[in-house]
Order: sequence, then C-alpha cells, then structure tokens
Amino acid sequence: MKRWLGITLGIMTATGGFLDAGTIATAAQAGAQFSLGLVWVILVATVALIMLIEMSGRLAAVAHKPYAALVRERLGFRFYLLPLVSEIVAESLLLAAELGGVAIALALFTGINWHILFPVAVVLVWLLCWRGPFALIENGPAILGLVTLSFVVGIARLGGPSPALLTTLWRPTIGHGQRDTYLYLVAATLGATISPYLLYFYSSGAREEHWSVRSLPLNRVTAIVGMGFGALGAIALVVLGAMVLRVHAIGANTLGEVGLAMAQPLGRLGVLLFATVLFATCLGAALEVSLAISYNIAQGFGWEWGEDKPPARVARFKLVFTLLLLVALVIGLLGMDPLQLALLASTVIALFLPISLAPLLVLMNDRTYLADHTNGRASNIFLLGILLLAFVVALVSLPLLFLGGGN
Amino acid sequence: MGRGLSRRCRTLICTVLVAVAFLCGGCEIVPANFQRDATTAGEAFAAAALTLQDEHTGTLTSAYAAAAFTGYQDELSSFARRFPRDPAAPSSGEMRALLAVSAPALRAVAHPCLATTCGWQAQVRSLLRASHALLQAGGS
Repeated sequence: MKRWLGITLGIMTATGGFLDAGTIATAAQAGAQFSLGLVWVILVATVALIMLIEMSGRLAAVAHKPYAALVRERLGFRFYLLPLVSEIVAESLLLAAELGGVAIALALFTGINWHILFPVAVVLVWLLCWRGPFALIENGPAILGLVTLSFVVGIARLGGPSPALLTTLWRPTIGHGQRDTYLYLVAATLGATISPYLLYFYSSGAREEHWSVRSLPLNRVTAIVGMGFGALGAIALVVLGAMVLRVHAIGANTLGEVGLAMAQPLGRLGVLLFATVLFATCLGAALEVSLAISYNIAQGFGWEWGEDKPPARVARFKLVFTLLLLVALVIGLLGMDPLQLALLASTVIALFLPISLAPLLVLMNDRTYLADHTNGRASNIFLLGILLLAFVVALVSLPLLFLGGGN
Repeated sequence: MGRGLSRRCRTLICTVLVAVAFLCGGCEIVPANFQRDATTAGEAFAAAALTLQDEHTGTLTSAYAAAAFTGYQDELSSFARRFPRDPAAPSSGEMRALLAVSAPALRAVAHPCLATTCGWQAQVRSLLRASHALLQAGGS
C-alpha cells in the first residue's frame, strides 16, 4: 500500500510540471481565443510526456542512477554540459515566472501588490527546499493540486460544453489574422508541457524513494495517472476559457483574469479555488525547477545530493538552488510579467528540446543499464516521433514568438 | 584538473549570466504590431469591466479584484507606451479617436472604483466602450 502511495510523485510532477503558470496561461488563452481547437495539442503533449516520464522512471529504477548522472556517464562531460547551459538559462526564467505565479496567487488572496509578495514567494520556496523533507515537497503541492478538479465542477455547473462548442474540437475557429497566434500557441503549449526538468526531477524522485525493478508497474501507473491528471486540469481550463472568457472577449493575458472563468459558475468560492490551484501549481513548479537543476548539476558533477540529507552533508547541492533562487529574485525584481517570462522560457526550452531529449534514445537502448528492460520497437518509434516533434517545435518557436505571441 | 574545472565553471557561469541578461532584455523585442496591441488592450479592458462588475455584484472578493487590477495596470502600461508610436497604426484621425476612447478607460484601470461609494457603473461603461473600439480596430 505504502509503495502505491508513490503515485503522488506523478501527481506532484504533474501539479508542478504539467500545470504551472505557463500552462494555465496558454490553456486559458487557447480556450478564450480558439475555443476547443487546441485541445488536440494538449492530448499530443500528454502522450509524449507519459512516454518520457515512464522511460526516465524505468531508467532510474533499473539502472539505480538518475537521468543526469547517466547522461554524463554514457555520453561524457562535454555532451552533458550542452543541454545543461540551455536548461539553466531557460529554467532561471521559468523559475522567476513560477515565483511570480506564487506571488500573484498570494495577491489574489490578500489584495497586496504581487511585486511586494515576490520576495516572500522566494523565501517560501527556499525554506521548503532547504528544510523540507522530500515527502513534504512531494505530497504538499500534490494534495493542494487536487483542487484542480474544481475546474471540472465549474464546467458541470455551467451545464457542460454545448454541441456547437464541441465541434470546435476538430474544426477550430481561427479568425482573420489569427493563424500565427494559433501556431504560436501550439508551439508554446508543447514547449510549456514537454519540459526536460520533469525528467530530471522525476528520475531523481524515483531514486529518493529507492525505486527498483519491482517499482516498474508503479512507475507506469504513476506516469499515466499523474500526467493524465495534469492533462485533465489543462483541458478543463481550455473548456472554461471557451465557455466564459471567450463570451466576454477576454483574452486571458493575465493570471488574475483567468480566475474570472471560475467566478461565473462558483462565485467567490470559485475564484478562491482558482487562486489555490495557482498557488499549488506554481509552488510545485518552483520547487521542481529549483530541485531539478540542483539534482542535475550535483549528479553531473558527481557531488553528494539528496533532499532528505542534512544540509551540511549536501552543501553544494543546496547551494545550487540557493543561487538559482537569487538569480530568479533579481529577474523578478526587474518587474517582468510572469506570463511573458513563462512564454519566453517555453520558447527557449523548445529551442533546446532535441538536445535535452536525444540522450534518452541512447540510454533507453543500452543493455548495460537496462538489461531486459530496454525500449521495444514501438517505444523507440514513439521516442523518435517525440524527438522529431521537438525538432519541429525548436525550428518554429522563435519565429512564431515574433509573429504571433508574446502579447 | 582542479584549475581547468574552475575555468570551465567560470565560463559556464558567464555564459549563463550573459544569456539570461540577453533573454530578459528580449522580453520587449517582440515588434510592435497595431492589430495585436489593439486586441490585447481591448481584451484587458473587457476583463477589467467584468472584474469591476463582478466585485460589485459580490461574485469576486475585493482582494481578488484589487490584485487583478494590478495585472491589468502592468499589462496596459506597456500599451500606453507603445500604442501611440506604433508605425503600423491607422490614420491619425482614427488613432486620435481610439486614444480618446481609451483615456477614461485607462484612468478607470489606474484608479478602479472598488468601494461602493464611487461611480463604478460609469467606469464599467467606459471600459466596455474602449474595449469594443479597440477590438474592432484590431480586427476581432
């Protein structure tokens, strides 16, 4: 039973990794601007993410080493540095965006300007990373993240999507001059969802929980349930955006206005539930990004790491996220809009996605690490498909940012 | 070995800092686009109108509304800076009309009537008027 509680690792990974400031914004924008015409992108991203998460968990469970350590060991230090630089850059921006999301959520509860609350969010995340045991980091946001299900209740209270709205699932309503924005949102949704830091966090989490070959069924269920949960929340937001925000010509360009979609069906309770979801997802994402980079660097450089070890024993591991949080604090204090930062980070992540994911193809076919648990032909074809998709997204994301996004 | 690694680390840190600084500067590099700017501002005014209305009808908490307005102010501060200088803007007459209709709406966003004593209905009307005009100008 205790072993199956490990499923919270998947829900935690989804709460912070799948649903975060960027996904909440892009999902609501997608619904407000194109009704249900972008749901297919979330479904594609979900399938890709389930595959990637399952593979990184399997790798960590069977090889008894996390992803970053294996990349360095198998492909060498120089290759390991290549994705690392891009990830530090993109994830510094992303961390600032997520901390901004936490500050905005606190502001929605208190009415205090979020710029003032930004340092509070940084201190909260630092304290949790510094002192919090892995179980607390894993279970706290995961349990709070369950409030995401209130989006589904909101949709039900509105009477569900109309048949006319459902037809936009396969016939998107793309208005005059909106094609670039549509394509940008496709790339941004994929970039915001398929983030390499999820692999580093999830595979390290599997090691923190001492997963072994016996954990493989749990790994599979965790990947499917966790990412399925994240997808449900994102799709529910798209539907709410289409049912409420689109009707009022609201574009969902700020996080506060996304919550208006919950005010209509559930009133004051609805917006408070939305603020709770925003808090849980952005806090989860900030914790995941901070720890994922620390795990990545500590494992790559061969330092001792572990969230449950005393800080003095894993000083360099703890120092990495402290420095990263300081960089994010400086970025945040410059007063940049968290959503713009999240979208910019998604674009940078998308640019380097093929470099970050390519090592997985090599590792998942290496019998030295995986023995009888290497990828089958179907898994390799799927993985190649994801890499191809990542490559296309990398090619188009920057031009589309200029043409259609970044409002 | 130790020395080489530290040089490598320094190069890594410098690269990361330069890239972060470049990207932060890049937040404003998206070129001006009249249609997009008008649509974004129109949508923000529509959101502000609904927020104000919902707050006074008891659907939103005052704290939520106040925080949401901070977001609209942040968003529209860039609009107020970019919009008049947009090279792709329409004729000066049309631009003047848009700026005239936007002015009271911008004032409402800067100082929203979140208390019951002031004329929030008038603010909602000016916000909706500006929203319709800008969305139309943006082609939505």
